[in-house]
Amino acid sequence: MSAVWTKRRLAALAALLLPVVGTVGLIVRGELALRGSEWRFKINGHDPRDLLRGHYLTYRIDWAEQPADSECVDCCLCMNRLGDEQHVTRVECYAAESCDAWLRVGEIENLQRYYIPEDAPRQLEAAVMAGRGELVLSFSKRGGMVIKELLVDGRPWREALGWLAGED
Amino acid sequence: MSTTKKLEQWRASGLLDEAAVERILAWERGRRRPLMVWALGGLGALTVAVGIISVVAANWDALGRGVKLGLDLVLLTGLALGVFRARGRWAREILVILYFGLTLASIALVSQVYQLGGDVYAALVLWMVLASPVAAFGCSWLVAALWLVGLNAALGTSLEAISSSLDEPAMFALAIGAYSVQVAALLFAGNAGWLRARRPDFAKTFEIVGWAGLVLLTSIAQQLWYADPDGDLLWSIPVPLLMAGLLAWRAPTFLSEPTRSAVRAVRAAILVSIGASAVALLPHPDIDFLAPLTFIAVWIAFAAACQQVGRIGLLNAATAVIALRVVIAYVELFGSLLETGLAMIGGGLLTIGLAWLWRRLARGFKSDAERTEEVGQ
Repeated sequence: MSAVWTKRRLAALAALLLPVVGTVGLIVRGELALRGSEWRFKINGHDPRDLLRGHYLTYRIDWAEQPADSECVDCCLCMNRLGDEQHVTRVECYAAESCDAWLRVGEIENLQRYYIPEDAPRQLEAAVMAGRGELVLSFSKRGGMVIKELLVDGRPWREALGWLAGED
Repeated sequence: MSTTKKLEQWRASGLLDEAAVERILAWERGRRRPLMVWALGGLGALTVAVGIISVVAANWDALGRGVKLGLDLVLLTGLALGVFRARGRWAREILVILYFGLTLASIALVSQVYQLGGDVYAALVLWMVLASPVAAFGCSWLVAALWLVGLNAALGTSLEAISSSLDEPAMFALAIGAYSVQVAALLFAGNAGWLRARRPDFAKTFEIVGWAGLVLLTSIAQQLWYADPDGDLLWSIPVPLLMAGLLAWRAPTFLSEPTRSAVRAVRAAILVSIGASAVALLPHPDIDFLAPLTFIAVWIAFAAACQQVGRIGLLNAATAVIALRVVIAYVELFGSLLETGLAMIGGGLLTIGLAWLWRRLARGFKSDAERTEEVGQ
């Protein structure tokens, strides 16, 4: 009786800890992606009237895509390094695993917004509009991906706030 | 009038003695639920959850990644242990609601910290997978209702996300199938003995939402007669029909007193409402006059079922809906003098028929009540 009661209590505790375990899993996935290979891309503001939507800075990523050899159906962006240069082209997703890093085209939309504090100065928006922004993406070997940093003039945006505040 | 006043009247008129009145009052006191405590407690818990989210958001810059996620994990673990150890019922309910809500907030927090701009449906589905076992630790209708809201948010956003990659017939079939299965599952769960024994308020909530869903969806389906669907909805028919068969088969388990006439009426209501909906899903031109007619037919079936199972309040509500639909139909059918005249004759006859039917049903109730009284004596 006691053993059954203990088993039930343990099962209940395990069920209750599921959200904790799930959140830890999400954090581990994020940390692994942060430690992946880094890729830098230029970004441009695409809507001058509403670049700062809520607390999110929205923009378009300039992938500098090379022309693809053929049209794709289930498309992925294939990224390879040729020396210091990044080479991005569109391929079928089944062929993307041989790339240094890859990304489903459908996931691009999810990368085109960046959370910033409520009181971030409007000069940050202006800098991105002027094409001074870059995005650092980090890709893990298993296909995980996170936005690692937003750069302005090549520096992390928090550092850039210092000189952006003096601009008008 | 309150129970106490009623009992006092019955005691004064000699229907009940003092001892019986005391026994009834003691029983009622034992059954009383702290609704106000739950409502205020639930509101407080939700306010605290929203407040925590706002505080974290306001101090975003001041807190590092590790601190934010560490605080979140400590809070989650504390709530898990709180639910595990809580003994008081309402305290546990509030902790369950907090933990349930904070799980979604945690997913959003991790998403913000790592700048993961993922899809909303993926976050909601993950939330339901992780937090549904937490909801199972609650007992109140409020937890059941919150869980249903979460489930439908996840279902709705998932269907929307999936539908973009499907053609129209498959999209309709998936959506109609998913909601038909949900209605049937709620009715089966709400009447399952194991759930009624362990979580009576969950069972009651599921049953009410299940019946409400059936009534709402089949009523909406009758509006299809205003449209001219081609073959796009054909593949949407099999799942609702299958559910209708299962529900009709298991109808006796939905009734506390499954008399022959009550089972027959409930089966008829299920088959008529879902059957009429299936017919409306077939390819057809727009036949406007069928929309009010099939709607009223479906609601007459519901009203008859309410009458047979002795739910006089619901019968009155159904009668009111039918009367309202007849009035709307008058307005809809106003056109040429001839059309208006025919519409008014038809509508008037229908209203008279309705009044006659209602009077007959009311008499039936009265004679049933009298018979019960005689047996009691």
